[in-house]
Amino acid sequence: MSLLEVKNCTIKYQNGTSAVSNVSFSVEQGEIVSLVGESGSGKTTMIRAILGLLPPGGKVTEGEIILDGRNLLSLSEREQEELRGKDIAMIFQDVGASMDPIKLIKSQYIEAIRTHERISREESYDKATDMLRRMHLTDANRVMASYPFELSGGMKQRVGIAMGMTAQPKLLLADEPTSALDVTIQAQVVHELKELRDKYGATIILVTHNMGVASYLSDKIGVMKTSRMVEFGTRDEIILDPKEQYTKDLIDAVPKMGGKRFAR
Amino acid sequence: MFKQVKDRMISLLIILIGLSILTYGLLYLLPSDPIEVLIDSLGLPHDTETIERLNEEYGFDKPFWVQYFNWLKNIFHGDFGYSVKYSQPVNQALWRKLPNTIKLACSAFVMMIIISFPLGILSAVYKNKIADYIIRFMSFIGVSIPSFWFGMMLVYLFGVQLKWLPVAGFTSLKGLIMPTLTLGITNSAYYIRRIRAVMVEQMSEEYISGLKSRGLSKKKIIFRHVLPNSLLAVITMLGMSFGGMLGGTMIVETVFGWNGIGSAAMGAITARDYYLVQGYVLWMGFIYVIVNLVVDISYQFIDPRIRRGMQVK
Amino acid sequence: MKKMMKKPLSRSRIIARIKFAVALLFTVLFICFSLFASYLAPYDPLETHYDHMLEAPSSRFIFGTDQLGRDIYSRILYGGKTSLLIAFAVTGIVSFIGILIGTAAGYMGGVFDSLLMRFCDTLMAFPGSIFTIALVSFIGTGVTNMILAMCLTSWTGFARTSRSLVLSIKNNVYIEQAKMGGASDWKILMVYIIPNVLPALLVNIFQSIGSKLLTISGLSLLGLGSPPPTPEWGFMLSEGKNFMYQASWMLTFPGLIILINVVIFNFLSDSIQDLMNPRESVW
Repeated sequence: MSLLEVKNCTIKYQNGTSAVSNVSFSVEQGEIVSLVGESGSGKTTMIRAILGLLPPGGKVTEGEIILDGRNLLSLSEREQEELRGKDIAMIFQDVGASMDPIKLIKSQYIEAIRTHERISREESYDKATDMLRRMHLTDANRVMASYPFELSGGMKQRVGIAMGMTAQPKLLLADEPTSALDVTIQAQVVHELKELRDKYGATIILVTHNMGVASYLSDKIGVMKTSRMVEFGTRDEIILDPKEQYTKDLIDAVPKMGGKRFAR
Repeated sequence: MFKQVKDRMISLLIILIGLSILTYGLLYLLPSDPIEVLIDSLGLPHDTETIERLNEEYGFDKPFWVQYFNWLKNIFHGDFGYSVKYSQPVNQALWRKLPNTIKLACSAFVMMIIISFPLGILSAVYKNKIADYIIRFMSFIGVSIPSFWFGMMLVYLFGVQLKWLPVAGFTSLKGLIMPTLTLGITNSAYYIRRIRAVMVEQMSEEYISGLKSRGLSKKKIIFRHVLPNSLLAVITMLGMSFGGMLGGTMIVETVFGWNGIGSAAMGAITARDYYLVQGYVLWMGFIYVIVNLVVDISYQFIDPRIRRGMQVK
Repeated sequence: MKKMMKKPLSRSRIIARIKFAVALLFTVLFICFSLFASYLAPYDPLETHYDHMLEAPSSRFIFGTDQLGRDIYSRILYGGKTSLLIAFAVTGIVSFIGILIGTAAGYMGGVFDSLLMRFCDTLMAFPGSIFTIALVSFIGTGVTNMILAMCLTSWTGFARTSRSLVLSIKNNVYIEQAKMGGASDWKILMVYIIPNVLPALLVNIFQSIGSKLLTISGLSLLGLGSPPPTPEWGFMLSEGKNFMYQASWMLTFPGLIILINVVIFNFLSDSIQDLMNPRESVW
């Protein structure tokens, strides 16, 4: 059985427009699956729906989202809270913006840990710094004593990944985790994500508009266009033998590196 | 941050100078000659000898700026002129009544906070629910109601009809209740709206999604994150509302016969005691500016984004 | 913005339109009450009925009579004429001057701008309406002086708001283009800037009418408005206060009327806000 199964999912907003129409895909344990598409294609809405975090007015009108045999759409508010951050974690495009701007990383990190685990502040602190170091933030104590605005973009993304991974979630959702970063930092964060899977066996759904990143990281790729999933398959199927013109366009859009397409 | 405090100090100085020029200029708006007013206030005869003597002493025949600086010098020495109505220096007359006004303004301020914070928070948390509609309706009426009329109706209700509180003679602690209620309630209406607006805005910020994604409950998000962030935005408004309180005291004191500097100034207006009115205006402006400065500076210390040197906007 | 218009009306937009229509209806209605006071009022507001002093509301005097036996209903109607007229005059003058100065300052920037802002800061450093009250007391009471004093102290709000609005649109492409096309500063101000900031200021303008009504009644309550026999809401209240025991209606009705009028203008201003920006409106 797949870890996550999305079946015929349709998401509509209050004004009647569909952000996601009849999308299905599945994610196996230990896989990295990428949803690729341009902005507005519904990919972010899709993963927000998995976490139950649709913006006001948005609603899953049809279909099912099943994690480990549980239909996430039928959970109560409390059960959802229980699930978020523990079973499913999310890394935002701009982790800095996803944190309370006037609270120290320390307090937010500890708060996040203690939401799901009954451990002391000191234990949480140690756990957090340990996790930060694993994300190659060597000066973990200084990071903990900082406010979000005091960290660089790359550091913030690493903090985000660390916080997401602390509870060892079954599923990690990453929403454009690299697109707000400089190219060199991007590469590092991509590397970090790969390591998560290789070293810690994390299951990741990655949302990106960059076919290069998707191609480098993923086991499977779903291509989304104007709310529909136009193509879904293994990395090789999509990259080496794309069926849709749109997929080909996305692959062609990846900048060439040293005369070779980074994607292939 | 030091630079910001310094900037504040400089603009404060400019405002204070402007404040004093405007206040001094008031005398020149009088339909009659300022020197006649002075003679009246000192109770001297209107003859050429007195006019000459006063011209020499106060320099009324000198240019505006010379007179202004003379006046300013006197102000620095605590000389705001002589009050005809109270037959004592303006300074003393105001000093004696200031505590009553401060008492009223402060208690009304506290009342405002006690009313507006819970209601504003409630309204934001239950946005578009019944409680929110009721609070919004009430605060809408509240911002539209004339405070003096509200005060009079309170007197009518609690004084005349129910006979719980005194109708006149507002000097005791019991007498403080109705003016406080009047000022506190009418001012909180505006504040409730602000708090709700700020909180609703905060709740649509991206960090709320972040907190939710980490599994925090709605209650925790509101009390640990939305509230502190909103309060930070509300703090800057606190100084202004305190000013509103001070400004509102004039009418409310007059309506209730509360013996503060507002009603003293009102009495002075009727008695054409211009120096006292002038002194009152200057004092109020001064207090208001200083309160705002204190709020501003403390804000710089409270907001970590400014304290730790990030430029906000 | 233009794209949004093509979409079918959302629920909030329909509500906003209905709200605006209702607000407008009431505004017009109440302006008419005051405008046609002389036709609607059953009595001369100054006419005294000595055999009907302090009479409770009845079918003959629907809001009762005051200490001189004058019909309160008629006095309220006539009082509305004065109050609304002053409120409209002040708001008109103040918004005109304020917007002109504010947009010019925002557009030109530089020394003029910073001087103006300092001046605004200074005028606003007097809490509440204290400076207005002081001004009236110095230049003398009466309707003209009241208008003058209120104008002198309250144009700053409009100047500030319009200035910040101008700053937000000043660097738009179409203004750059007009500049490159050789349009004069005056023309840019009149053709491109002011028409663009005006709609947003409508909200402030109607709100200002409401708050001016409050200031006017406050001033006349303190006896700084037009001299006594003239009916004025605020002054009626101060008379009513003295007869609280015998004739509560002298207190209730003028106050209620002030409240209703302010509510109407605030409501109108609110509904315009909703109409222009249904999403962002928190109210």
